[in-house]
Amino acid sequence: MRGAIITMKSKSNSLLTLPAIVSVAVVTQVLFLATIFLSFIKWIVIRPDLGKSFAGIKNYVWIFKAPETYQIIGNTILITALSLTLCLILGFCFSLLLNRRFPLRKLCRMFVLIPFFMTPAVIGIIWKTLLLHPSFGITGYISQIYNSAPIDFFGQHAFISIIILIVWQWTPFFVLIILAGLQGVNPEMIESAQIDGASSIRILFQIKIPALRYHIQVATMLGMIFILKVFGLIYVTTRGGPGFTTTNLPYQVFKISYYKWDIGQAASYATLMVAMSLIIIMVMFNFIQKQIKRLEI
Amino acid sequence: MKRFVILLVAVLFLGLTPLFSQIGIAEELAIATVNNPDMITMQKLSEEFTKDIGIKLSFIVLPENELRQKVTQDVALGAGKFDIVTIGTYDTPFWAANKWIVSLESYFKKMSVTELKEYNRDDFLSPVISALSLNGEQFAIPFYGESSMVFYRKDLFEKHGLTMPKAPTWEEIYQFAKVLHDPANNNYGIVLRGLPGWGQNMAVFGTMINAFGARWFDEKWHPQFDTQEMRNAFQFYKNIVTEVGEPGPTSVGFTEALALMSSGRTGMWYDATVAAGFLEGADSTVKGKVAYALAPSAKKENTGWLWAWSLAIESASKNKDAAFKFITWATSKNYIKLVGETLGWQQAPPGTRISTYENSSYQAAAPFATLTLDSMKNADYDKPTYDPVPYKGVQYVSIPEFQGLGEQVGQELAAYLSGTKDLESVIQACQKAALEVSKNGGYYKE
Amino acid sequence: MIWTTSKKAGDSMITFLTYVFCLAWVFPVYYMVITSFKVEESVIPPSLFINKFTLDNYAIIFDKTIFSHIVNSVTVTVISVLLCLAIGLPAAYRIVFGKMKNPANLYFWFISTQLLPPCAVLVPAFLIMRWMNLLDTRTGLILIYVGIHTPLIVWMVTSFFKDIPIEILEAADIDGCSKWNAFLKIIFPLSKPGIISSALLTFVFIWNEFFFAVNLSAIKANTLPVYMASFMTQEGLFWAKLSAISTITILIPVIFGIISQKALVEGLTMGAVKG
Repeated sequence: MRGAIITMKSKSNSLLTLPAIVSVAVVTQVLFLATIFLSFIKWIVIRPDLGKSFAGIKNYVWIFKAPETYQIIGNTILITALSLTLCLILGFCFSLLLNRRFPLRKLCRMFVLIPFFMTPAVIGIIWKTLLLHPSFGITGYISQIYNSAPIDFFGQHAFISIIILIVWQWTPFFVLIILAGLQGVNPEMIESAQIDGASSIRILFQIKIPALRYHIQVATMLGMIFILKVFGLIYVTTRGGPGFTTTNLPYQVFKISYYKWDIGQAASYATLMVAMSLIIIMVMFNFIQKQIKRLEI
Repeated sequence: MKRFVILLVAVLFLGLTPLFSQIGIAEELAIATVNNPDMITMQKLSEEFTKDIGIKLSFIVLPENELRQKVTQDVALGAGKFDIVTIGTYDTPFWAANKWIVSLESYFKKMSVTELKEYNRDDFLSPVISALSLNGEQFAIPFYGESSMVFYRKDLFEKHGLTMPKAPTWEEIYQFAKVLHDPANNNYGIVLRGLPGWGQNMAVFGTMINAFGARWFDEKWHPQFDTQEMRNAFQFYKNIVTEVGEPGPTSVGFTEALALMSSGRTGMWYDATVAAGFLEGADSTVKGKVAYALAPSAKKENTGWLWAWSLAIESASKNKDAAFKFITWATSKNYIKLVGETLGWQQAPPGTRISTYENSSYQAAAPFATLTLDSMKNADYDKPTYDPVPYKGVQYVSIPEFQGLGEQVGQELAAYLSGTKDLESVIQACQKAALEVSKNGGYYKE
Repeated sequence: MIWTTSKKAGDSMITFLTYVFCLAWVFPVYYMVITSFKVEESVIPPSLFINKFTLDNYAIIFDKTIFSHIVNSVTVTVISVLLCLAIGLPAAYRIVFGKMKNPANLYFWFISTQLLPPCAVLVPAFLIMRWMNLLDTRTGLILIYVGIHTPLIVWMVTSFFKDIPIEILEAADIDGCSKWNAFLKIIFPLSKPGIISSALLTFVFIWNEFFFAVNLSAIKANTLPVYMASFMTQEGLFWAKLSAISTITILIPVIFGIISQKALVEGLTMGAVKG
């Protein structure tokens, strides 16, 4: 509809989007096509004597035969699902708390948002060495005081520890979006509901949440795209271990590339990851659309 | 708005400076190195080199894993961005075979008779040099070398009436640790690395594998994880760490273990000989209280590992002569003397030259010198295991695929130590991974 | 009367709880910053306050090499963000105001490019950069960053453009205002907070980018996160120094993030997220 208001010649039109499409396409699509191409090749970088050869679908056969692949896929999905849920809940809570007027509100908001702007490597190291280390960290120290066995976070509870880190880093992202939505809710609606005697909880569920449905959708979709790709946190803390416990698809691609140096296999994992992410995103998107339609009726 | 524009122009100008910085540089060398204190010292003292010889140096310093990934990528994918690379005894043989680094023989030949005599190639420890050579030609020069040994608190030993033999066995170590273990007071019997990684927990466990008479592969390159000896090694490591070792072992690498030992929280520690320097340093609360013993044996003796960080010249380098000048400068007796005199003899790079160990100032500053030298001389690089094997390397298997295999086994060990996996599934997983490496790499013989 | 006082008490309770949660949330950052000022040996056993103050850690970090890393980070990030804006704004403009049959398709294509994890394309990226002789150059990094982060700008700015009331634009059109003038005098001013917040967010992402920076640089184009990597593990005690370099690394993006949070929240409030 807007297009009809400002008429433009279509030739000059496409010039506007061309540079963006070209640069993004070259960097992302071309590189991805190169990756797909590499997935059909056998090339082990550290064995130049074995040369490069065409491998057909052998790489894919290998990864689907390997039992760890399924654990890795499961990890990727589970880590994303759990982190997303926790981020949504925590993000909501913080947004509700920060939506009120109270002294030092801006300072509190700043505190909540800080983790989002930190490098994942820094986050991982801080949590692993300063906070959760069983010998030197604060939790280790606390258990020494209480004479109990220190909790080995990144050894025995590696999966949960990674999720804690992801949630700490990404909740601010959700807070940003949901808080923005809350601040856009019409205050008159809330006032009239309060006058009608509705409890805060009813207001929350029947006015605020429905008003935020688009915000929740965007936060979830984008959050999912970013959390599926989490790599830095795992790299710095558990290196995918112990065993394969915290290995997700991006980390596996890295491990195969830089420890096994099997470029073809790494590329197959990468292709698998993108295909899987695409499917998940489309499924989630349809699901959310349906939920929204339900709310509208 | 104006200020913004000025800022913008300034930034754009800075962005264009690389175009100008290429002009007029005499010779410049790019060096990739590890972030160990000895290397950082080399980085600092390299200004002396530039003053003397006039060649400028640019360093990139990274932790071991990141460095190895980066330089391997650089040589294997043909980028050639570095002139000098820091590689270990592990990398040198196959880097040489792949022609990623150049043989140094032709450069040694170009040295004058006096220079060569002054440099004295015979002064270097021979196990190290042979580990850095291929077909009789030397490809890298050791910058510092290490083996492994036991560190123990002589004051605690005296208190409990214990005596440490010069060459203890693992069983003896275990018994000592039981006496010393005092978790109520945050004091552990022994601390051992558990952090997953082929250069972390696997370095220590690798020597234990050899000590217990196990091996990675037999002479036909069939994997040997599914053996009683290997199971014994795994079980022993887990028992000693869980019963008389530190909590949360999978978060303890070299650095954390050093911190535990130097803050007086453990009675014993088995790890790299370079740690001795730190334990006698100013930071250490146990200075003067530490004594040393050879790496523990079991079925096999002489289990101490062998490692040397070494300097090599990339084949793609365009400044090979200048690079050779630098690497000989950094490994010369004069350099070691320079470190000794400016920073203290304790900081002198260990494990390379015999003359270092004959130097009285060094001996005075480093009470661990004799045992380090013994450990390195005894290291069984060529015949690391009890039964014969087709590979070399004490705490690793000298094949390129070991990076991946060792990393995987390290993760399995960590899973076993943290109780996430049981022994059988770990053994089977390791066996499977090793078999795949053996077959895919073309080593396997029927 | 009773109702208002209990409401006040309830309010104060909630405010107090808010303070507690926010402090607990930010505690790790606080702890990292104070550790950076502690003498290395006093880091263990951990304490909540600085027992032995020192600036030594920062002195060690601030040797000559850090400056080239800072310069690289600033140049690469600023130029990348400017380029992202330069090509992203026109794209967003067309999606919203141009005569496109299916703007949603292009919009979603941009978003889908974000599915690619950087580590997946590292080897092809390295090979192509080598072929183009762009390894270890700021230009190479800039090209990659622009390609990866432009969709973020497009996404955010599209939403802000969509919120400009139609009526204003209709009026301008009727008054005979040219498209360029309409952009300059109406669209741009109205969406400025949104554009600024998108730019700042992109700045933070590019500044923090570690993976491509480490692998596609050697000695000349290293950025600050790469410098930080060399302190990640070390022989010898290292926690205070690590905290110091971490504090420095996050200083700029956190400051920018704080400046932009007002714009971000207000910008997103403008109904930014209507699909």
